[in-house]
Amino acid sequence: MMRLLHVEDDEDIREVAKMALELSGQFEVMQCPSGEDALEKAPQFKPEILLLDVMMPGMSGPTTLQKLREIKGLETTPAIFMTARAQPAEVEELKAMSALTVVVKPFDPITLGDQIMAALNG
Amino acid sequence: MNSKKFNAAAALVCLSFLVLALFGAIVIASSVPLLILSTLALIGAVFTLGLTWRSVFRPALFAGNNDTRARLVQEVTALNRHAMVTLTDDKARIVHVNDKFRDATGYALDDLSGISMDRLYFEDDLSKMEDIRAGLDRGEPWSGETRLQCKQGNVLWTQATIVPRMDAKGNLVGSISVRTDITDNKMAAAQKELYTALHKLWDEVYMFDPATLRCTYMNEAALARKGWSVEDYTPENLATVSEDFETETFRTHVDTLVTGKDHVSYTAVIDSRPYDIRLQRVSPYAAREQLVVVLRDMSERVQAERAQAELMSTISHELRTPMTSIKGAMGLLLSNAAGELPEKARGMLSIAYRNADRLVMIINDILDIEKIAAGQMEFKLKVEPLASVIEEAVAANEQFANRFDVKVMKEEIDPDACANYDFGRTLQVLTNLLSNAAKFSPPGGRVRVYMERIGDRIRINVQDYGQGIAKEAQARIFERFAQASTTANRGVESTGLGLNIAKVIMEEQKGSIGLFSELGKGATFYAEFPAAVPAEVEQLKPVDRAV
Repeated sequence: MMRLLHVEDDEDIREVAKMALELSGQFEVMQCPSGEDALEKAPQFKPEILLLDVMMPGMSGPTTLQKLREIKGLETTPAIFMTARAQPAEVEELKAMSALTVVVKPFDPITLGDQIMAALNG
Repeated sequence: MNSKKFNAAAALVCLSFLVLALFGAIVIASSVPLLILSTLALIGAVFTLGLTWRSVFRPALFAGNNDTRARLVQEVTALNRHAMVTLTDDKARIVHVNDKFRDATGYALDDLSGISMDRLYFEDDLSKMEDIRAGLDRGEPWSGETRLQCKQGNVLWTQATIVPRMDAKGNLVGSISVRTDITDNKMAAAQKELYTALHKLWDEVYMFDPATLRCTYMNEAALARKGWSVEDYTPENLATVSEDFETETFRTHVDTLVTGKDHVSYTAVIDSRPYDIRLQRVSPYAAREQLVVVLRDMSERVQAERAQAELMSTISHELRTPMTSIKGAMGLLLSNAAGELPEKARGMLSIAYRNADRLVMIINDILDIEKIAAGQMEFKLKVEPLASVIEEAVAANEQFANRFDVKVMKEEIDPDACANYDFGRTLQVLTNLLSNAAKFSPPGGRVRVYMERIGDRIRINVQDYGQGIAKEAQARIFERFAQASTTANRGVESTGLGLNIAKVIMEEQKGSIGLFSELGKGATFYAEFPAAVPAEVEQLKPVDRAV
């Protein structure tokens, strides 16, 4: 089981993603509704993988990743972004930010876990 | 024709007319038109014969007293000083012109002698001249504006009075025209008209002397940008405007106008605002050339475009977020993640799920259309085998085909056939063709995918054995919101945009899309690429403003 930190402001999406990730049976999931919350919980949870929404009120996904990277132990933790803005230019920008991949919303809950594992192993 | 003989003959005609006319003039001295007529005849005669006034009058052609004669001479002299005079015969051929006419038009006597007056008119005016001549034929004089073509090609606007010359039997034997040069007035009026129109334009308009690049005019919008009122419209201020334009870009573009182009456009930032700038050479009435500079402030348009792109992006995000939850929740339910579902519930949920899918497709298609319209659809072209994208498309479409109980068969795929294409976008095109083929196939049917080489092009065919597409629908099927069949799509999702997008994508990749179909016998859609050899470098290319 891999420890996965999921940051997402939309409660419904959090719930769907949680069920989807648990369904795959490969992750121990910790969810945070905001970047601030994630920064607070991450040191203790010690995630092995980060799954971040991009557009969030307050701290955005990319900013959250930047701040998480400052936490000891998370400097190189694999990160995956999730976004509903699927413009190729935006996706490229996110990938340039040391993200493994970008999952486009709406995602397929059945294959989400496999998609993440594939990115990790790719 | 021997021009001397002709001149003599014309002169005789003139003289007889002259006698008649002058006689009339004396009898009805108060009748001004007749007096003019007779005067004109006299001038004509004098010039045609090459006589001096003295020789005309010495033989006492008429028995008037000396005062009348002297007065007439003075009048004729005055007329000749003031106006251009021409005399023509009954075929509208020139028999005489006075010095003033020659000076104004630049022709020599030899240029004009015996030629048709029509040669001096502009082609556009010839029918009008015909009408005037018809009037002269009936004995009606005519007054109005006429244009003459000068020897140098420029236009001479004249205020003309043309009077018929009749013989004793009342037949037209020619005409006499008296003209004054109104070119300057005409041009001033045209200039004024032009300025009035230009003055109120929203765009900034400037005029420059192309030789010195001195500003000679600016309209209200131009004044407004400088913060000037009409009182500030002074030569000194105009000179400072010229300085505003003394940039290298401006000069470079002015220079390109010298090489024969009559206009040139470019964009520039002035006072930190984006402008479209157009330089146009104009030469009103073939006179002094001017350089018109039009500045169109594009900041509002640029802003509007940005706002629209922003809006589309926002809508996309706002709609996708709830769709993520809806689709995700339903997908999980359908996968029994929340426990086994009763069959009826599963059926209903499947419908909801399919339609959620459809909604996502519509959102994607609308975004694509917007991207195409805004020239923002990006293509990452790369030379690679087409087999790989076909493979991927068939795999991606397998589940969808299964739903319709359709088998997709790959046949005759050349693994080495390469094209310069964008993988993702081409996948989109093939997926569209494959899903359409599955949708319109009968249950248990099959869809064939095969490659063909046509000259230096590679064609990917997707053939179904459905009911086909009627000829009249075929022409429109690649248009937006076109859908061939409303009856046989078995409750299938489609936005009516897919084939239009596919067409644009193929065209942007220098390929094409098309179909062959016969009603009742299925349809073959194809996507065609120019064949390419591998090892060409990858390139990024934004779409030109299309659609």
